[in-house]
Amino acid sequence: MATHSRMQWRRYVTVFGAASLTVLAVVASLNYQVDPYLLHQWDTAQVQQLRPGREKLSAWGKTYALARLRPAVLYAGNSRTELGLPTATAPWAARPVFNGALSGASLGDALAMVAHAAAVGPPAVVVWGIDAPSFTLEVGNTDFDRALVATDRWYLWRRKLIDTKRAISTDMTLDSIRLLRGTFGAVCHSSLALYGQRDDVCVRDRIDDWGGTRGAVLPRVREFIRGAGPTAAALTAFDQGIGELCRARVQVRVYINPTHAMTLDALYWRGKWPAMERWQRELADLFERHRTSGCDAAIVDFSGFNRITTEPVPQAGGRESMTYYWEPSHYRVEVGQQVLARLAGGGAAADDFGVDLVPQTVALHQARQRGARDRYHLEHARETALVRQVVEQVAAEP
Amino acid sequence: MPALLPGGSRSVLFNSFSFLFLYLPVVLAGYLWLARWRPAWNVGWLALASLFFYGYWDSRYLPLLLASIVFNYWCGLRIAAATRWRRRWLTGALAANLALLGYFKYANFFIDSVNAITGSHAPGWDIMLPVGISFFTFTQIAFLVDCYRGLAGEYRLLHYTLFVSYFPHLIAGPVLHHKEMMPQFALRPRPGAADFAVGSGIFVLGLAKKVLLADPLSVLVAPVFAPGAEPQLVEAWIGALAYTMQLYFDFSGYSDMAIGLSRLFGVRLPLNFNSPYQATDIGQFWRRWHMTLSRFLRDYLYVPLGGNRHGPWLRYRNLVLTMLLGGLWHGAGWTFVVWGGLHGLYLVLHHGWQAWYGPLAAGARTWWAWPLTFVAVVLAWVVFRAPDLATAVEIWRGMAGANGVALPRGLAAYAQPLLQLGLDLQFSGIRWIDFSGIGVPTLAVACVLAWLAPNTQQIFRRYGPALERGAGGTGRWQWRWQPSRGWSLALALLFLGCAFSMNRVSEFLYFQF
Repeated sequence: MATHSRMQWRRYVTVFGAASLTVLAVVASLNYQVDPYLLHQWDTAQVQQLRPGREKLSAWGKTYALARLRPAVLYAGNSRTELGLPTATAPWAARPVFNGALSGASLGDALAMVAHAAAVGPPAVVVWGIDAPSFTLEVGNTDFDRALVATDRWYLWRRKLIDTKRAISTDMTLDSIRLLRGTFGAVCHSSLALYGQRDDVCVRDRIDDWGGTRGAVLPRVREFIRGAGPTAAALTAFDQGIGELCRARVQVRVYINPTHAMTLDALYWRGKWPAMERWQRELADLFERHRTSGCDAAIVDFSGFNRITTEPVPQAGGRESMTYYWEPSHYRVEVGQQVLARLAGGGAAADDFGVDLVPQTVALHQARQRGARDRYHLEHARETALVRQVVEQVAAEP
Repeated sequence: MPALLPGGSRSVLFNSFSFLFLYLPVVLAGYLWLARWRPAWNVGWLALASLFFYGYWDSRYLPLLLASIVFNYWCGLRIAAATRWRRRWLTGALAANLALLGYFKYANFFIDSVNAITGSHAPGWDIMLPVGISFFTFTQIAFLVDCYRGLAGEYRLLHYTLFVSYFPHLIAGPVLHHKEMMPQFALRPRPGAADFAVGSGIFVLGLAKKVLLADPLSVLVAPVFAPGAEPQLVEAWIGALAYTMQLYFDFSGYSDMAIGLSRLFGVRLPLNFNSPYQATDIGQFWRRWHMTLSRFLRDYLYVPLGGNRHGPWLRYRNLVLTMLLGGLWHGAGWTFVVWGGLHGLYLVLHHGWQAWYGPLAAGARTWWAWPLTFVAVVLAWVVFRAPDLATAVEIWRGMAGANGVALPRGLAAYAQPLLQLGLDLQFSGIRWIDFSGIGVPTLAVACVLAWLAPNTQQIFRRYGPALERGAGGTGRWQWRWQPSRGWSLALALLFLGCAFSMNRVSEFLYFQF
């Protein structure tokens, strides 16, 4: 081994350690203070500032906000719930409401978010949007690091460490600099400014990127049927999760998202209809079981072919901008309000939008859906043709 | 509400913030303090830290590791002390170790294979593979065999516990040998800036291999190796080459990190890689790739089988058997068996060639021996990585051009001269490779480094980076580390580059073995 003086070795170690730690400390401090992604903001002025249209790391901001707000009413689910369920005009508006749904979330992600909310302070009501394709335990929202889920009372202290760790990154450093220079982008509000609900302006900005509703129709249908759900493992985990909420005396209101009729029709042409019907039956049985054990739990199906979901898309002679939908996969707040009204017990149960999934009537409901689907094929030939075209393309994919 | 949280396990990986900024500083600080005030306690401290490292991952298997250590230590004592029944003690102990490994690693493989052969539908067992079981089992098998041979010293249980569980090697090697490690553990610790400087330097190079080279290559690999992808020529070759480089930089990066970490505590580990992709024959490749496993297989499998002592045919049989079992050690699946068999075949061809024609002259090797060896290795990695044999065959077909020779659409504008030559080229686009991402440039850099650059031990060769003295020679490029300000700043910069890219921690590929 080559020989050097002790001083030389020490100088080497000192330079290495000092250079590394100084840069790390400076960058981490800068990013933590600037916090361009609102990782640890809740009631600060930063939350109300306009930001870029694409929200980054929203799972981080929402888990932190949940820990601070501890809402009485929690919405859970994926982007359909995040965009569609309003927080300001909810039937429970007198109580703090937070939309904890996440873009791209699978059922596994939603379970983790509900677990987090339950750990930081159990809500009184959980409203949970689900749908068959995303009903899996795969990681859907890749930003939702499970370290963000609270497991003990030291969560906010642990968050400081986790947020500091995230601050040591290239993307955050560049965005901090952009924010300080005023070039970060100011399109719409963060979802935190609307208690977790996505700002419509952000959504419109995203839809414009697609080329408007018309341009988004086929990609969204394609995306919908690529989902791997529903899976048996997810159903088991969901059952356990609902059981936990029941034991904590939480009122559980689950609904199947009212995605556009084209999405369910695509499942039909893709050959997934029997799996979806089986899933609905299993859900009906699952909730019946929890209800008989004293739980205040209910599930309502808003999907399928009803007065809302069959709205014509632009390609089929509808208006360029749809009344009920941003595009087939995401419904607007107007629909979300009807969903909430129905779930809170104030909506009209008589019409075809929102059917209670109970074992006694699920077969009748499914028979009606099959009939409605066949009528849809006759009355909406253009949409049907578009759906079949998408399904054929997906089937040709390796 | 734990039921709401599906799956998930904790881990303290070398390339994680919690390891670098919490675990390691605490363990190192404790080590330095004890070295000054209670040097006799240092072995206990490192053993405790190592068991914590393992238990933090999954505490359910900590008792298994401890039981394995105590059982094998006790068996070693009995074997060494016995005058009669030595062989029976050894056989019993080896059978217990192999049964443990067989249960955790191969039970479901056996059930699946029986199902496939008989058409039955026996359900698999719900078994989770304990991390590092292959490594700590092999380490202890070597110890037991050496006790039987009278080659093991009289070790204290605490030292033996540290030898087996030593955290730098526990999860993914190198496969340590007691004769190399025990004397080092018995020495009085003398921590100094020199060990820290050398160790941290080696560690940073390993971290950079993992974070800056191996991880970005994964985006090129997964789509090509997905079942049903049917990659065409360019995709198949890029995917196979990317995996070849990813595996090397991932595993050799891990080994460098292990060697560097250990050096922080003044303990030298054996080398595990020596620029294997610069090998000019397959025998040389196996003397440069996962060297500690090759050594184990040679000393405890190939030689006991008879080695080369009973003529060429039995030698070839022993080579194939050794490689088949080596393949199976890597994973419970037919793809690993085929991979081992392929390398066994390569070695037989290599030795057969040498026996028939004699060793190649040095000059003759230079132009075709290296590419032939490298391509053979790449072809074998395909089946190693593929999820099943059908996918491996599909990728091999793609590499042979049987799935078409589509080229990027963007190249069409520049291809007129080639088309005028009458070549039948299709510019229908590349489906599975994203040329706009960081993957392809990273692959180019990785290839250059793997083929031409000196390896870590060559860069640090003047400072005894590993147990082997003067290993690896000097390399083509004269990069010589020394404790200068320039190297210090360069490695600090490299470390920062890694730290700023570490927010998505990825596991090491060899953890699954």
